[in-house]
Amino acid sequence: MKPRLPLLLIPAGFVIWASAFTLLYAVLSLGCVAGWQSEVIAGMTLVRLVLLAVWLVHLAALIVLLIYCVQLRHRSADRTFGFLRRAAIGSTVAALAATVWTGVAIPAVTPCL
Amino acid sequence: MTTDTPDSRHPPVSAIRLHKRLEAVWGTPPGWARLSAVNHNVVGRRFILTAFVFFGIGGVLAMLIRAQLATPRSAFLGPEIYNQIFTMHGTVMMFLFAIPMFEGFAIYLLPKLLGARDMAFPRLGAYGYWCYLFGGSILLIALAFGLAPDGGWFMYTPLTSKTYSPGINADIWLIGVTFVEVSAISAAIEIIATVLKTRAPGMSIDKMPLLAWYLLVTAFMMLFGFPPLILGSVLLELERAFSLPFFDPTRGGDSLLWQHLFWLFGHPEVYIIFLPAAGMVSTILPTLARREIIGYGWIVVSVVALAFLSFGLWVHHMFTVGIPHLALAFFSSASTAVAVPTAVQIFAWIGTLAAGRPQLKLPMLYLLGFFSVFVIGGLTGVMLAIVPFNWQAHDTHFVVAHLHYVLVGGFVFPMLAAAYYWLPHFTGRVPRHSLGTAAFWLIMIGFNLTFLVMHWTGLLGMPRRITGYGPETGWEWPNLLSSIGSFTMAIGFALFAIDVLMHWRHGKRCDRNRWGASTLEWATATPPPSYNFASLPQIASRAPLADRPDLGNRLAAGDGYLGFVRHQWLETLGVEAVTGRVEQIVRLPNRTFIPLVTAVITGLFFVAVLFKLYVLALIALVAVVAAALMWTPDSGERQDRGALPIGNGESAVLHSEAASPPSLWAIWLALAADATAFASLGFGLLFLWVVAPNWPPPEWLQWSPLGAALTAAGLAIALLAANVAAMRRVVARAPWREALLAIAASGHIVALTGIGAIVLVTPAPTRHAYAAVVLVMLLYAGLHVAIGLVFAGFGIWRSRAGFVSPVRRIDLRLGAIWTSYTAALGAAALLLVFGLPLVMGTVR
Repeated sequence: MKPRLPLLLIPAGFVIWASAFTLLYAVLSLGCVAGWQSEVIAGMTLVRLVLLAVWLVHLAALIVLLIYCVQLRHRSADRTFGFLRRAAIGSTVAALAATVWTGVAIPAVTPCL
Repeated sequence: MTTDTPDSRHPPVSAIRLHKRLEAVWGTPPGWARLSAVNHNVVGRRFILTAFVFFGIGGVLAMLIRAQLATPRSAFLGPEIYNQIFTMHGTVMMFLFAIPMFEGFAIYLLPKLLGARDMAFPRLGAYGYWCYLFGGSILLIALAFGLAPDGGWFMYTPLTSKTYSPGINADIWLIGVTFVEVSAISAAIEIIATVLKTRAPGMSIDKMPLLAWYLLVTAFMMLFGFPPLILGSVLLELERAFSLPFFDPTRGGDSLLWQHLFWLFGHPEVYIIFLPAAGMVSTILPTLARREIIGYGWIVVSVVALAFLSFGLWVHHMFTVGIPHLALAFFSSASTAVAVPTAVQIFAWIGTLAAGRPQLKLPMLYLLGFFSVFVIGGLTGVMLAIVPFNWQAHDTHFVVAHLHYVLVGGFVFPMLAAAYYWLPHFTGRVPRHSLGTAAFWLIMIGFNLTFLVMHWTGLLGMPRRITGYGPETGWEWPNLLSSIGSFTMAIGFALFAIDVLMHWRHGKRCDRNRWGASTLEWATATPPPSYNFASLPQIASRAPLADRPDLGNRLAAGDGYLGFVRHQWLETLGVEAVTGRVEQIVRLPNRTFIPLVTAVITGLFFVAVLFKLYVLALIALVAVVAAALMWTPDSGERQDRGALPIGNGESAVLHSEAASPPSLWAIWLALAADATAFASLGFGLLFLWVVAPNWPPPEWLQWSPLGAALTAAGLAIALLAANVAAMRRVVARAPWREALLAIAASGHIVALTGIGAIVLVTPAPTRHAYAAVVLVMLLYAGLHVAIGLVFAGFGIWRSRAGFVSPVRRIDLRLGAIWTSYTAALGAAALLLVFGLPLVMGTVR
């Protein structure tokens, strides 16, 4: 199985990171304006809960993408596709690490101050 | 007419005769005809030389700054002139030196690295150069007349708003820099299309030289990084000219919106400058280390990672503006994370040096300077990425020192190495090393004396951009040392310039491949002929010259693809983006004055806006469109030609008959940049809604059923008609396709009417930022619809002029893509202006 646009696999992981980053910043800004920090659900403010959800969904998407890249089969003769696959795996792992690092402060830092 | 085709009945011509035939077609004659040059060798050299002149001007401005700050309470410059000088120093170095310098190297080197004869869009490169020259000249003329911008190179509002900068100075920055950015966007499109489409046969994506990867990624960054600033500049000019209050907090605007838009461009800009230089390091270093670079794949991944992460840092320039701590944490984490892919590259370079047999040639000396200076800059960057430290050092000379370590270390030192490495390629001569070595040590010592000390000046509390200081501050000695260092550095740069001139005039002639490199640019003669390669190579590895050291001579003898002249055409090969399989013959345009004429008219538009002559500006805008249409006759064919021989027993179709010609990539790339600008406008609306004071606005946009219906219906009709017109089966029938294009044109007119109806019910845009943004959004959509109308008319004309057939559909496909994009943009605009109040009305 070979994807139609294998070159896009290289930036795919970081596109997910960019989505996570943008949404986290947007949700935080909107949530603080809407007063979500005052609403507590299961011992956690709504804004933190939504931020955690956004973060975890993106982490899950990256894990799925990583599994997909690893599972891609190719003939050993097709060196170009082999290179793209390896680069995509490396890039997705880097994006996964970057997304973990980006969101690591969500449980710890006061959101709206 | 000379026509040599790879026909077995004709013996191959000699290398000399082939050279003469190719040069007759590709060359640019002397005299006034030089102004018509579109060849990448000429355009690239022009970019490099002009950028170096601007570097000299920026350097003189820096010396004036240091002269002013050398002693306390200096009366050398008054505050007004001093403000202009430090603003222009930053503006010149960032916009008129760094970006154009890398563009020049890219335009000059890329086709040679990739085994092509020219860039994918030579006229676009020439147009970009003239835009750069004219835009830069506007800024310089203003400086000469004492009217230069004086609000700092990042032009913060409200300082640069009409209230506090009533003169023309800020307008000159906005107009001049936007004009130059037209050049940057066009260069980005050209670079991407060239890297992905016009490589030598067999050069699959994993066999590309690393510099091509770096330039590809950088060009993508430019494509997404520049539009926010272009949009910001347009909004600020609209505020200054028509009092639309985007950045005025008293009327629902917010000065922080400017900071966001500026730094959305501004931080990626740092990496846009650094990455091409790093690409050059990755090219020069393995050659001088006499070893293939370690970690090719990891470097590619790290460059991609760096590109993305660099877009997540912009708020670290705004850590002190009052953003919530958690948001600061997001941006701080990205700011620290970006050091990792940078380090991957640095370790790959160090590993290559360690595993190779490095030679301490002059370019290597400058690379070692790059290593030490850039790494220090990177480390202070990590310090500044940490919020608490940033709060202490913000807006002090510590930041000035850091940014100079990064930019001079990360760009100037590699460019000096690149200059010495590729000078023999430009001139066919060997540089005199003694002067270059002295220049290095003067620059190195002078630079570190200037900026290492400046870290301490900053930690002692000296703010940026101040005109003077008192002797009681304790900043006296560090400033004097910095000033002495800066003049030492300036002497070093002067020595470098003298060395280059001496080498150019008196250097010894040298053979091809002076350094024993393995990349393709050294397979050309030195200096290179206008066509680069008399025939194009088949590539089988990342090191074609290492595989076949005699490759240059063989290609010169015509032992490759396209080793002939056909119908006086300028031909290079187009390949499939990933595999490098031959797809098409790209027929390139010959020299022409049209890019210059178009740039002059573009300049007229910008100057008319500058002097508030809006009727003239509108006329110029129409003239720009007319001039752009003048580009098109040369880019099409009036007959189907089918597969043509390309040598080596193979054949390919012309790009006009290919499924994926470079122009198709160009329009997608242009639309990506356009969509980024529109998304930035949408961000602006949301940002003001959420953050700005004095919301909600006094009046919302009224629902206009007629306007919305006409807009939606017109866009839908145009979308459907333009796409059907471009279908192969429909194209076969001329009356049908032309009728459909006429329907598409009617759809655009209906949509324009609808947008006009909505504009009529828009609240007064000078009263509140909400109405101002809504108006700009509608006008933005309207402009695209108007261009769609031009595309439909253009399609009809091309159809009637014989440029269209079932296999030559590219003009109609381009129109269909534009129309589809316009429909999506129009729908998004309608949703935002009518739908957002329904969703957001309850938020504040």
